[in-house]
Amino acid sequence: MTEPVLALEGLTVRFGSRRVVEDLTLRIGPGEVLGLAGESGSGKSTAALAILGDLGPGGRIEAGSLRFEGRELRGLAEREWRALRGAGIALVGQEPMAALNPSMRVGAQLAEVPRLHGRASRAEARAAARRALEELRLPDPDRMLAAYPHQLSGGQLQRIVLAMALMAEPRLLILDEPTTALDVTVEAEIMALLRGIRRTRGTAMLFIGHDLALMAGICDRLAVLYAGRLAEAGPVAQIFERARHPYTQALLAALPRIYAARRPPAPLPGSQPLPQDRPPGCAFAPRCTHARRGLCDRDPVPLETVALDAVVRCLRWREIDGAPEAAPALPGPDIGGPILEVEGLTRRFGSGRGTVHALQEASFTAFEGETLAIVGESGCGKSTLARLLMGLERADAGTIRLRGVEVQDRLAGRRPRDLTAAMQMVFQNPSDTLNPAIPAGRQVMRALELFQGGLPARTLREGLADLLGLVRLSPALAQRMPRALSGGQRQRVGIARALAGDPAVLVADEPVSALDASVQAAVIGTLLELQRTRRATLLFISHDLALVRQIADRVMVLYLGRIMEIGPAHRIFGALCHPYTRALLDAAPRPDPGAPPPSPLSGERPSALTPPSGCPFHGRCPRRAELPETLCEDRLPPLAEVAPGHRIRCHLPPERLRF
Amino acid sequence: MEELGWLGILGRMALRFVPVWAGLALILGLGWRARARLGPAGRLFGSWAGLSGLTLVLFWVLTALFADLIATHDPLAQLSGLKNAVPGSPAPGSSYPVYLLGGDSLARDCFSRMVVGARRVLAIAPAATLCALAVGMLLGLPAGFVGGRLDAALSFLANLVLAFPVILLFYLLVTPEIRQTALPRTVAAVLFLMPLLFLVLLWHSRFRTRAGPWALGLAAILGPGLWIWAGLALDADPSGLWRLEPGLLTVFVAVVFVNAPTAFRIVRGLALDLRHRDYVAAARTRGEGPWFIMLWEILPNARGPLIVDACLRVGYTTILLGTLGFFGLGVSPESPDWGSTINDGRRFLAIYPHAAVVPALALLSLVLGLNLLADALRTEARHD
Repeated sequence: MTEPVLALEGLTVRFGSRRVVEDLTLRIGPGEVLGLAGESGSGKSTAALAILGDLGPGGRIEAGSLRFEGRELRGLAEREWRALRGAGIALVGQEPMAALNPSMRVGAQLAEVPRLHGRASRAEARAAARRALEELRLPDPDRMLAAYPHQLSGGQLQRIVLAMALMAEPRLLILDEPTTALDVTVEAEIMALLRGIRRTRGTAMLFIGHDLALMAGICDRLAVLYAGRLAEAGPVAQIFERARHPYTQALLAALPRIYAARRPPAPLPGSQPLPQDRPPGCAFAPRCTHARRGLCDRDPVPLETVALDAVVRCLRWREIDGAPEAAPALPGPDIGGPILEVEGLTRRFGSGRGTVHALQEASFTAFEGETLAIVGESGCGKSTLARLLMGLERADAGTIRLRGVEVQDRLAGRRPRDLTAAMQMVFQNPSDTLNPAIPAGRQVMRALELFQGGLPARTLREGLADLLGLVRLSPALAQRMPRALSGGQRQRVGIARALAGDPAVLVADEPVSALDASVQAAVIGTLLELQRTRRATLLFISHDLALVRQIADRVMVLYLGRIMEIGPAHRIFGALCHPYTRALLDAAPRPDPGAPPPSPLSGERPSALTPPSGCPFHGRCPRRAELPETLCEDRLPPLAEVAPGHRIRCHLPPERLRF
Repeated sequence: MEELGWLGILGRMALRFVPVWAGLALILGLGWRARARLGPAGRLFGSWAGLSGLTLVLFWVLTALFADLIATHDPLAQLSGLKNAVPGSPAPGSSYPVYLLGGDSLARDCFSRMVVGARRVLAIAPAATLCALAVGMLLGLPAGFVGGRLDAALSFLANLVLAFPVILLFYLLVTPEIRQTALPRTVAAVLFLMPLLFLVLLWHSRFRTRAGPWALGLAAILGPGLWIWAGLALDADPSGLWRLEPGLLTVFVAVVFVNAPTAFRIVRGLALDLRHRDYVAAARTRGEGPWFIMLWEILPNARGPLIVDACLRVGYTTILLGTLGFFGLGVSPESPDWGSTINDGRRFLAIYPHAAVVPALALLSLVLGLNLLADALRTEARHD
């Protein structure tokens, strides 16, 4: 058997009195890609820091061994660590902007690597930097080398960070959620690059992430971490085919599947315990449907080898059936008349260098009781649209009619109370949606006071209890400060607050994108259930097409401030769609290790400051060649109806847009 | 009775401060026991700087509170033969047998003057700081939240005041020509109205939807508020309970006037940062008015830095009052406040240093305590 590149044996990392990582055993063979999956707080980033010898002042390795190419790293002096980092083990983190020095040109930063590790001359270092960028297919490398980080896009920066990590030719590359901050098309591009690197260089990788679908596309083996301990590890195909641990099963069930029937992802109740609150027995037992009292909650569960190269930490894995219960399919929506009509809505931002067209002539109608998903990459205008609807910003042109009343000229606070209550918003960031200085319950109470003004205090208190019950929160949580709530709980409080006025339209701006997969499914479930029972219209803004596929009745796709397509979800995902929508679908990762890798979209997204003429998508459109010479550059295609209720903005005839 | 040695002086002083020790023991003991429930304030007990800062500040607060019990003599009474007496000199025929820290150039007891002076300093400095903060919040919140032209105008005004040399401003304010005009009273009337206005807005924005509590609260704020305001700012309190001597009023106005712009800038900066948060957007989308958002959504999240700033500012104001007193500005010449006392003592500094050193040490320890406290609070706020 060949020597593994990295071997962890019973690694335990402690911060103060808390064991963040416990008894972690992992092996990465030469050229192998190991996925370390886990939700936030599972200890996966701490494990990465321990491997890099960078735990910081509070943390220390309490037990276990950490061997890199057969050499024990525990107890290494700081000087030896420095020699190892970069050349032996390199790290690519989540935030490329934070990894690069904002006051240094990219070229100078890249050139530091060979200067430091290979003692190259200045000219050699420059040349090496240029080669590194070319290898990662960055367009116009000379311009990149001369640029400052803030002048480049997130995708370009992440490729530069990757280039920097590869320049010292490390034997192990640690990737800590390398695509979390990126759009789906850019993500697909980075993942394709990583697969290429693996093929050509054979670098061993530790891929840390929370998105199992993404990891299915690159990893050979998968290790699932829960509450600091390994829950399960094994070959990736085996895990996707037959996960043994109930937690892995739940995670897989919670994954939105893009080509599956229209049903919401299966939720997993509760949330991961903090290191100080971990139960004595199996850490997952409190959330596990298979847990037995007196068995699972007594002693720490040992890791058991269940097959060649597969381990699981569960006492009952033999008795558990591999397939967890799927969530019931959504009932068909009960769609009523139009409730929100938007006509020619336009928003421009003037800046010193020109005008940004955040939203151009958007027209659509939302009907009572439907879920309309608004999809697009960052900067496409979807958040601007939400802010315009809510009256947080004033539109430059166009009309918004809510229940037949024009509201576009009335900013929030100037709208009559019933119209304010009729359209409410759920915000994206769970750490920001609630005021951190005010107890959670009081924030919902305030909304009740405003919308149901004049009611006696007792009725309001009952209303608060009802609302918290609706979003499945215990009334005891009302007294807590937001920081004492988990992300999912905060999002639920935010939903309860938006429901206080019994809204007819609920605008949800990426309400679950910052949540862990298992929590995400539960919040989505709550949102959908409420929408169905209350017959509210849900405007669901998202970048996650798989999720949209499973919950939306209709879909609207935005690109550079323009509506590119709007239509029924079953048609867009099943019959025919715009080339851009198609590209988004193709770029989405598939939770299936056997599936062909997603195909990235070529080309950089143009700046909204200098939008392309004609069709905004022509520069990246894979089907551009099918049309005569300059048609796409010259003329903006109309948003033409290709079927009842399905409109597409493309010069190609609809029959050529079929799947 | 003969002259006391230093050991005797310290022993007797410690005995005089018994009410302060008792108070310190009580407050720190209770605080220590409840520290787990006190949040960031409770964690002060865990840091050396926080605990010593708290102790120093509490020491002077309690001294000011119990000044009548601690002082050995009337701070204005002169005893013949004790002019510039060294510390520990016997003082026969008076309320206490010794001048513990000696006598000053007018044969008054330095110890008692220091103790009673604490009351002066600790009454004016926090009140002036609160007033300045109220002004800063009332102008800084809209400047930061609304922005645009309002911000430009208010910031310009603040910079204008800041650009003016402070000492020159003080001299101008206390020159008789200016004091005779209605200017100090008018400025005082406006400045003192700010805390009142702040409370009214606070209550109104929160309870405007509920008529009962709204009316009750406003009556409770406006009744006593206007009474105190009329007494302090306009000298028109019929009962005579609330009044400020004109000299003190001028000092007060001056201190608030120079402190307000810096407080304004801090609040404005905080509001500018916090106004883009989602919870502010959430408040706007449910139809809250701007004052509710500023006072109930933004301000509570700015309180950490503001409390730290208030601590530093009380220290700074204390020094400022000392400086003013040192220049003989504002307060009456007899006043035992520390600044004036240092000024009085400096003439004989080379021969009889005690008259100036005693209040100087008092001033130093109070400001040191406030700064330590602010430092510790800042560290705690960062951990939160």
